[in-house]
Amino acid sequence: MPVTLLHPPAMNPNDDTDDALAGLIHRSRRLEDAPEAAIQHALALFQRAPVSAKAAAAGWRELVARLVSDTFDMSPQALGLRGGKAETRQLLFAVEGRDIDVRLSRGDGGWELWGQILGPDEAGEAELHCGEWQASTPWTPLAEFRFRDVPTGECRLTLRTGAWISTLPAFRIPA
Amino acid sequence: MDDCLSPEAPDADALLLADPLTGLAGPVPSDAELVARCRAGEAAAWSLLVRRYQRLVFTVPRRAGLDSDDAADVFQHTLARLYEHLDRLDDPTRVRAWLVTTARHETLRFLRARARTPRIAEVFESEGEDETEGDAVERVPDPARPHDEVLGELQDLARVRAAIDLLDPRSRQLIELLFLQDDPLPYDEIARRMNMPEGSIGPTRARCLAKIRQCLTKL
Repeated sequence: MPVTLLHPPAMNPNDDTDDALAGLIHRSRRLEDAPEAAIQHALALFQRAPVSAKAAAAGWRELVARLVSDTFDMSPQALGLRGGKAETRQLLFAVEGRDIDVRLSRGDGGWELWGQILGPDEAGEAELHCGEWQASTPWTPLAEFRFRDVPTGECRLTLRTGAWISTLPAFRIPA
Repeated sequence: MDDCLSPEAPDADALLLADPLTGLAGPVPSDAELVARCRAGEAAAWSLLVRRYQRLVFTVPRRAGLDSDDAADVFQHTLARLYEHLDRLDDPTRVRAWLVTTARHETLRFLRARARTPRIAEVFESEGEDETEGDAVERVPDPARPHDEVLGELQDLARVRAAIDLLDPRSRQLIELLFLQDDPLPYDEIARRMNMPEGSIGPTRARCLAKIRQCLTKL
């Protein structure tokens, strides 16, 4: 079936007239930027290579996680919140039929990360990397986990059970 | 001196100088060079490759009518496939065409998996009003065909935007004000925002376009 074009064919970007190039630039507004979270996930593919190798060696299935929402992207007004003493941030990820709820809160002792896997999995482990710092902890029977005194900077959370492993898109904890 | 450079460039050999996030520019690595450096394990080369083509890969599913979340899924799967195939790309100089083809395939796969009627974006709009998923899938053009104007144009547009990303911040700002606004801005407003005489806009515009043209020869 022929493609119906509403726009004329592309001008040659090597056209040596300024007007032609200007027209092409103007038309490039039609390109859309990918969401930054998706870009970060793609960039993380390179850093995740060791995890993938580890997963393959262990016979785990590697699941792709997607960031669904991040309250850090919303203004307090949008969230209907008033300014308070505690800073909190909620991130929600989706991993093949599971929702991963991650909450960051800053208290007197620094940042704390709490998370919960909402899905069919009963037991597993969470591993958090923030720069050189790393820690791991098993999930509770409610599939919850918690890390205290988390340093600032870019962090990456990996979840694994006996059957699968998933590294969530990186997120940044502000200073 | 290479005009496709920023004045900030401190090191002519630094790969990250062209990273739009840093605002720094430098020698422009070709796609083939980036693929080779990715194969050698350079994360910075992967970052440049992703940034260079993120708009193109994301726009393909958006043009097929997927919403932003679904298009992000296609985007992630497409980039994951590129990462998996880095060592097996027959012709690294054609990575842009490979990405478009793969993004289209991932879009079709997504449409079939979801088995729902997509909203069809303007480029794929047909005269008929009764849409079925099959119709929509058929009308997403095959980039392998020689006369595929739609995806061919997207590649040209992405190439131009990648060239703009390589400009120094001030040149890029002028280009954005001149050409990337939905409603054209008058020169006096551009002059005010750029803090430059209105009479300088024309000559500066010409110099910026020349820089873009030079960058295009390397992309």
